[in-house]
Amino acid sequence: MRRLTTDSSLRFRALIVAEVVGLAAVAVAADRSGDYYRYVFGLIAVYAIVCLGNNLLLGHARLLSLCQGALMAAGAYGGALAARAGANAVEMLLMSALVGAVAGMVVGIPALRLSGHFFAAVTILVAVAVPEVILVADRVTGGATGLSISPSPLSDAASYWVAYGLLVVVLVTQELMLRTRLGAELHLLAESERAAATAGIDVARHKMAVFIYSGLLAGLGGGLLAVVSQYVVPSVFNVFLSIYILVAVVLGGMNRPVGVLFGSAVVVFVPQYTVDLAGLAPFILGLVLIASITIPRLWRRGLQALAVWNGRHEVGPASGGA
Amino acid sequence: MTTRMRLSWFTRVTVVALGALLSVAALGRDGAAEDVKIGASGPRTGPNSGAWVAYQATRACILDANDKGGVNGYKFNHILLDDQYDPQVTLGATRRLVDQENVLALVGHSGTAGTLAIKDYILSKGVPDVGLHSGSAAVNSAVTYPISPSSASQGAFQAKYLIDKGFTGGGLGVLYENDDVGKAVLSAVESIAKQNNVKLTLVPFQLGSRDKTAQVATLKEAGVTAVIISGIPSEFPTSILAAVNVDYHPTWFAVAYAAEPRVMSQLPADQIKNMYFSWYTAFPGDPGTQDLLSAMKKHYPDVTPPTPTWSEGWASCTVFLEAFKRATQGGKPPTRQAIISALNTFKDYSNSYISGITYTADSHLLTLRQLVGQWDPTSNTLKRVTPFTAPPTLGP
Amino acid sequence: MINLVVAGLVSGSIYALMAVGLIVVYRASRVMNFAHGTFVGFAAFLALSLHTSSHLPLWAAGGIAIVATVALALLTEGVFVYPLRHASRLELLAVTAGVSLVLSGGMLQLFGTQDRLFPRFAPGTAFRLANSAIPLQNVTTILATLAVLGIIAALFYLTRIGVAMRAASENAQLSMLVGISPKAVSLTSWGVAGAMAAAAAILVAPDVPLTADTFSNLMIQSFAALVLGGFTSLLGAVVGGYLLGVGLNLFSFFVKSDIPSTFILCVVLGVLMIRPEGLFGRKESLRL
Repeated sequence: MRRLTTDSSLRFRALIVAEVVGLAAVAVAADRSGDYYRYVFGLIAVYAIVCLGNNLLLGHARLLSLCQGALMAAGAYGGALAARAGANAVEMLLMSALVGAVAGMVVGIPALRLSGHFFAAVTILVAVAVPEVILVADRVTGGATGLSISPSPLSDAASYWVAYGLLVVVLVTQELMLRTRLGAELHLLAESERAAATAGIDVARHKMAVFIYSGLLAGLGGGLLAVVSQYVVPSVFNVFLSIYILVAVVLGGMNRPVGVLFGSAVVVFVPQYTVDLAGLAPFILGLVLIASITIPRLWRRGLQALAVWNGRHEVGPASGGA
Repeated sequence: MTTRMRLSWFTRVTVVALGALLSVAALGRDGAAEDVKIGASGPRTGPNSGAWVAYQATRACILDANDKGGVNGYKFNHILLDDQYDPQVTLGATRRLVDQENVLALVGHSGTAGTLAIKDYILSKGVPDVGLHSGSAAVNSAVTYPISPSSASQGAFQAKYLIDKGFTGGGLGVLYENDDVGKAVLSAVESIAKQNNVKLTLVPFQLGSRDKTAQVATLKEAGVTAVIISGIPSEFPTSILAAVNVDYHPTWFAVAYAAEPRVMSQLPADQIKNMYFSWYTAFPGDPGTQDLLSAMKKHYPDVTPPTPTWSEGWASCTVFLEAFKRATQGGKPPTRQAIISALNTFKDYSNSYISGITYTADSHLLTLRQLVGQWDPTSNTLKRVTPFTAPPTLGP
Repeated sequence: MINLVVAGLVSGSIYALMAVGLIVVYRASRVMNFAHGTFVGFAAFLALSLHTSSHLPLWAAGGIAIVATVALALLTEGVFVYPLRHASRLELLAVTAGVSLVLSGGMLQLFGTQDRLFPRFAPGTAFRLANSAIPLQNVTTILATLAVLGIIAALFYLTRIGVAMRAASENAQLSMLVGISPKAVSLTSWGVAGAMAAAAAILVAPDVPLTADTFSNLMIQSFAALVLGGFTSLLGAVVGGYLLGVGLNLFSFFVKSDIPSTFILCVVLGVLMIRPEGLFGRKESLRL
């Protein structure tokens, strides 16, 4: 964009390149560390894709959604049914994304009418109702027995690389989009809905677009999860999945898409590494969550105290907060 | 719009931590350990934590085998992980056991939902799932070896007992969780009820639903006089309390692991005297179960009083040890395939904990003999009221 | 049929008690307290452990549990919430969710993971009505709930701090006018919420086997009751709670018994489509 200085766009490009190279390095390193690490890092990529959608939803449309797990279920079942009907990998993932987007649109409709907490409440009810509906609709979904998609349209290794490939594409697209005019409008929307409306932005349409986008990514993530697990069962998509996704987004900070990569990593790693100690996973995740909110504030307050002591009135912009 | 790109402290910390983890992962892949690794993940926490005591019994048995010198010169390293009864965590934990720890077999695993999630994965890796506590037909595959009788045969056994004893005068009811186990029980009970011309009332519930008043009221309204409850242990007391609320006193039947001592001690006596429980193993304290009692006392002194669930966990381990013994006879090395081949030679295998296990290459579903017991509030344990009996055969 | 309604009122009592506890905190600190369900769980486990392991009488165990839960709520307020009073709603929400996770992990260590059942403190039948025996335990629970709600209403409408607590949600300066510091209002609110969590625990515990996540499920239903009632309205939360409790039982009995959450979702969505601010809510911005 014109009004950006060359310097900043240079920085931006460098950052994008750094992100892509970093992701590729992590993906290769995990792949070389054995099947188990490949699975865990594959899972991180799947979470990250879903979280990117939720990041835009929470960070820019300011909508707190606790039903991303349910949208993943929609995508997973859509994809699984397609695969069982003979779809190849590309068709299956397209189906997952499409079903996710449609489900996102349906859930998004109340968002246009309801304010913050009311909407959050509706989404958490959706998160508990969807697995229930899947169980009851057992003629289509297989009920509690689930649906097998074995042989999977993608091998273990292939699904891992597809997940990372898609993650890079989505991440870069989202970073670029945030620098366009649409991105600027979303930034304004994040600051103040009223200001955005005054500036002639169609708030409802933007919110809906973001919701469909997040549903699309959740559906895609669900489809990938189905491919990785070769199986879909309703109990996987419980309310805790939605909560963990939200925790990952909050941990990553909502101001930058790249943060969700780290949030996703923590949310996947902590339960995986504490399976031999009962109760440790929620304990550690809780501590990390509290620390991610309080420590940056204490740090800033410390800086301010220091600045006052130095006789200055201001420190730099209070950025970097999670 | 701001163009200052700054990474938050959190991001920085995570980058360092991830780097460290990855390098540990790369360095920490050690060579072959001396002991044979086996393991399982289970609901140490979460809604089905009542089943965990079976895992403790399996572990006590493995440790006991090690103490006695192992099997054919091999000792075992038994790894237990907590999967919270969450299938996604079960899959992750199982991948860790198989890909990372390279376990020879899963031993004493339980939970139908979790087993469904790992079914295709362990099949593709050829990892035997030995002594599995699930009677679901849906988990049946070439590598799953359950020791529970099939859910269908358990349901048929319970229905037959209630009908034979004349408890079903006003009809038979099934209160079931609408999962695979519940539905298998249901279809078996349906077929037995049809054979005997007994009126049947079916009421499903969702996992973890607290208030079952509506379900129980439906059964009462229909005049049902005997009810089979199918679900995880915590569903049992909520059903009974709902019956207390609506002043309903039918005869109850459930599998023995629903009878948790801490919970049973708080249920009203007039309901307890109408409850029947079935199980398929020896009771701890029966002749030949001294090893179980002493190993549990040694390794889990806090876990009391003994329940049939102990024997079920212990029986998983004995089936594995027997398969291991057969597989490594004559100095052959233990491999997953050897364990599977050995298990397929089980023909009416019995020991003092469990009897009549037959696996063929085609089917691993069991129809074991079962028995009926009642809760004895004074000793705070189950007491048997029938000898072991074969379940009725189901129509085609 | 009458038993169904009575049992629904018992469930509704729990939803109402939990929802009011959530509102009291929400009004003071602008945050949906995700840790409230864990407070309830903590009180239930503590009372039961004191009763069964230390052999304290039930009233003493309950009393200690109430005091301990109030202390826990005050600690949460003092250490995490008050220092963050200028943070965004989302940050506050995340902190209470963090507290909830830490507590539930800690409770697993403290109290173990085996299911337990609280003794029913009022066995027997209260009275018979149209050929149905109404259990004394149910009647006790409903009456005790109404008493607790009455005390809360008296506190809110008859005392100076109550007026300040009601005012706090609208305007922090307003409470200063009454001569009470916002800090005191916030502390009192959390203390009251802690006591209500313990009360809910003691009343619900005899009806449900205690596991570490029993109360996270109840939280979701209380949340639904809260939204149905209009989020900030105490009366609304109580009405919403009882409506859901009774409605769910009738729906499960007459229509279908294995889709309770779907029923709740439909009811809440239906009401909100007609009245986006809930049954008793006022139009106000509840933006994150």
